[in-house]
Amino acid sequence: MTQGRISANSISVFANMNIFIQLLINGLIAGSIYALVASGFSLIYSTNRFMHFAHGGTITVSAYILLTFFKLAGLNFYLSAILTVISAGILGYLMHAVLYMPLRKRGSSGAILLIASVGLMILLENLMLMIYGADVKSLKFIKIAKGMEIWGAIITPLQLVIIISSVVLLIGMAFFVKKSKLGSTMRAVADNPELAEISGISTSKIQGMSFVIGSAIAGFAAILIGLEQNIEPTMGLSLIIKGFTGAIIGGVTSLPGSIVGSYLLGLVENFGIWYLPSGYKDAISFVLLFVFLLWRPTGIFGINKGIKK
Amino acid sequence: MLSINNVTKTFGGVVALNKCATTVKQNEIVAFVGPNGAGKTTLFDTISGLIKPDYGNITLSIDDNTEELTKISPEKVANLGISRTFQQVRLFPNLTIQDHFIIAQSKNDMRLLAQIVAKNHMHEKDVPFHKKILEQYGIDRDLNLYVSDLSYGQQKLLQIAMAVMREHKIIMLDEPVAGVNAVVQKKIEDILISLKKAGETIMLVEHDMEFVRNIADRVVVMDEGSVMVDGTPEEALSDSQVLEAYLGE
Amino acid sequence: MLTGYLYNILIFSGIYAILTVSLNMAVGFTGLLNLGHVAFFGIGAYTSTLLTMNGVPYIVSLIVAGLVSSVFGVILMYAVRKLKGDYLALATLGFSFVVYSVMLNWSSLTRGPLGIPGIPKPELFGWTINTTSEYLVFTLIVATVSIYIINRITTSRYGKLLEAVRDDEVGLSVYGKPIFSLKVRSLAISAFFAGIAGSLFAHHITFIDPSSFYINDLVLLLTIVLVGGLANNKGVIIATVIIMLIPEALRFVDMPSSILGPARQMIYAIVLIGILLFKPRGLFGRIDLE
Repeated sequence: MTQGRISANSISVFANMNIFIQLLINGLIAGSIYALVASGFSLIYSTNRFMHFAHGGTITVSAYILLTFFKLAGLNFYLSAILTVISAGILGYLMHAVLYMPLRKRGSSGAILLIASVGLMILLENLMLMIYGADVKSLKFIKIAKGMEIWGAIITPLQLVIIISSVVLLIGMAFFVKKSKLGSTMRAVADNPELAEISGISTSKIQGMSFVIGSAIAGFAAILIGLEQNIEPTMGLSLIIKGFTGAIIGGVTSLPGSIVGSYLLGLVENFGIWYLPSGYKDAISFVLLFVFLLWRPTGIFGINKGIKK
Repeated sequence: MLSINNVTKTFGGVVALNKCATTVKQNEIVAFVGPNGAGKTTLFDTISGLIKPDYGNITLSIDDNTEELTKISPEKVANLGISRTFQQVRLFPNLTIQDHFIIAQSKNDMRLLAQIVAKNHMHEKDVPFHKKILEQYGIDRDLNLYVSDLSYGQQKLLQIAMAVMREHKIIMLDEPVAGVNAVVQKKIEDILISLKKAGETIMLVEHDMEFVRNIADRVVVMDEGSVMVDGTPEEALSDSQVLEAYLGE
Repeated sequence: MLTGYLYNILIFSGIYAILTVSLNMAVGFTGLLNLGHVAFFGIGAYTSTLLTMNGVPYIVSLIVAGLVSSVFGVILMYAVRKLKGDYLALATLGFSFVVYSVMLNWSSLTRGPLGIPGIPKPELFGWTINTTSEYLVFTLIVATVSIYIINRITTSRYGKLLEAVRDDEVGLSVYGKPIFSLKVRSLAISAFFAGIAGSLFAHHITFIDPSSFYINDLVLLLTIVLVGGLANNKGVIIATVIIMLIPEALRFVDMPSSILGPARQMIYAIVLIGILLFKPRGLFGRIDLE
């Protein structure tokens, strides 16, 4: 996510302490973004019971929508941001209604839905590539600000905003799922779709709602990423890999689990480059994904509802 | 021949088998009866090696050779000579009847290289034999028909034919007549009687007490995972406990 | 000019026919939803490239490329042995990511994203395969032999066992057949031929980089297999040729190359989604994806 500048020859304890704090901060920033991706993915998984890989495509498309509203149409940034979140929600609903619902009606398995979703991901990525080209785009909304120094580590105001707004949104979402009426209906569908259907809940409506909410969060994530990094067609793929790795580490059907898993992933990845070249950041998360899928597919919290034996 | 020694198995707190113990001798037909959930199918699955027990073991003795079935994989159990059918048919819907016969019959089909170079790598020469089996079992269908196109009764018959045609010492039949019509039921019962005449060793789960009385040498009544009564059909089916618990008389 | 262009399409069709028929053996016949096939393809390409560039004779490199991929197939199957359905798919997809990431980052071996240029043309018993037409002949020979072997396997008694694994593992185990061994061998053979295809690919275009062995290509392979029909070798070969030809029509539309590439990928993705939605058994298949 960020480039922490680490001088390789600093050997004193203080320098190590500084590196530690810098990596901790970098890990938290990365974790915040991953948690936003993972929470939407997890919300959709828990009510729909399949891996919505194209969630990454939602992020890519949202970032370009923001770019279009803000830079190309010249709208006010905050208005553009709101429109982006709304568009992301609509996009999520369309995916559900146009692709997944008809597949489900045919009785397609989770594996087929996953393959369709991989296809959709590639479709969206290449659509963006075709429209906007392969070169990286930048929003340039916030002037590059000088970072603040905290115990020798550098953090920019924007990064602070990322961490704080993610945490606020994630807590809000956890409350929403736990306390609100819609949230508890969602949990009912996640626990037992057949039972929920019998007790008068429209499962497909709730599944659609999960897509809207989950995708809107992805839209929000796209805004933060767009501010912090460049926008490019392949951004969604690497983010969805991180997102579902985080979700699986924490237990994919559990929202708090996915959030914790994502922060853990962010930290492991960033502390990992203490030992390995930074190019291996992605490899670390893949290995982590693999390890969890093989030995603990239910995640660290061992939440196994909805996991097929 | 087969010895089931105090086998216990629980599934998430539910006791499926509770110190279940009995034996099966050679050439004996043993019927397992009892209410649903008594543990009959779990017992069969444990013998097949599909389920590992929490306690106890099951051994198979042939001549002087004794193997502990509860320690080996399902395919090894099967290769020691345990044949079985399932209550809900388990066949391969996208394969033909003949493919099923070949799978049941072949012993060297894992030799991959030999099959790549061999000239005649399917069992064409067995076609007359396979046709004869279809006739014997009253399955009036083409050998090249996909199994998913068979009626349920025909699938049940095919399953029994496969269990019998492979090399075996014991056949376990889990509710062979459940879910079939009267004609097929009669056919299956006739087949069982002819198997009895041929001196097969059979373990059978069956609900039709009249039929059990006719065919079984011994009846094992199970309830809540344990053996309640173990004796001749007359003994077992007249036991007052059994009448009360199971037959509801 | 036009013949050269046609030969190129045919060479790629040959390479992709090996890839898709071998993928079909794992996915269609054995029911192993393997999304790691591109990784085997890539492993084969890099193995063969690195060996020949270090003086190993081509024919040896070709076979070793297959064998190394095959070893990874065995390792992958051991790793995912307890998974089924979408979890199996996700884990094998994860394997693709891991291999891609290693190709990208192990720069001292693979030159990372820069790729390896100047891969020599194959030399077989003194015959250097230089021209496109010669390479076409060579590709067709290798493809024919590979597909013949796979077809022999899938139509034999062994092939019926693979199909039985797909239809009902537990049901098959009670006939005394070793399920896990069937799966491992299936994936190993499937990976072997993907490795062979990788070698053919690398020495044809004489330049490889990790991006050729990633998710875009995976979508293409899945599209072909699903269009052709699971467990139908003939259907998959026909589908390979059709799908390789479709995007060529774009060439006749006046389009800048920056749009041509993404447009091609989009077509593959749309065909994949379309076939799942409207004809899940493919054009020639009779088997549903689990």
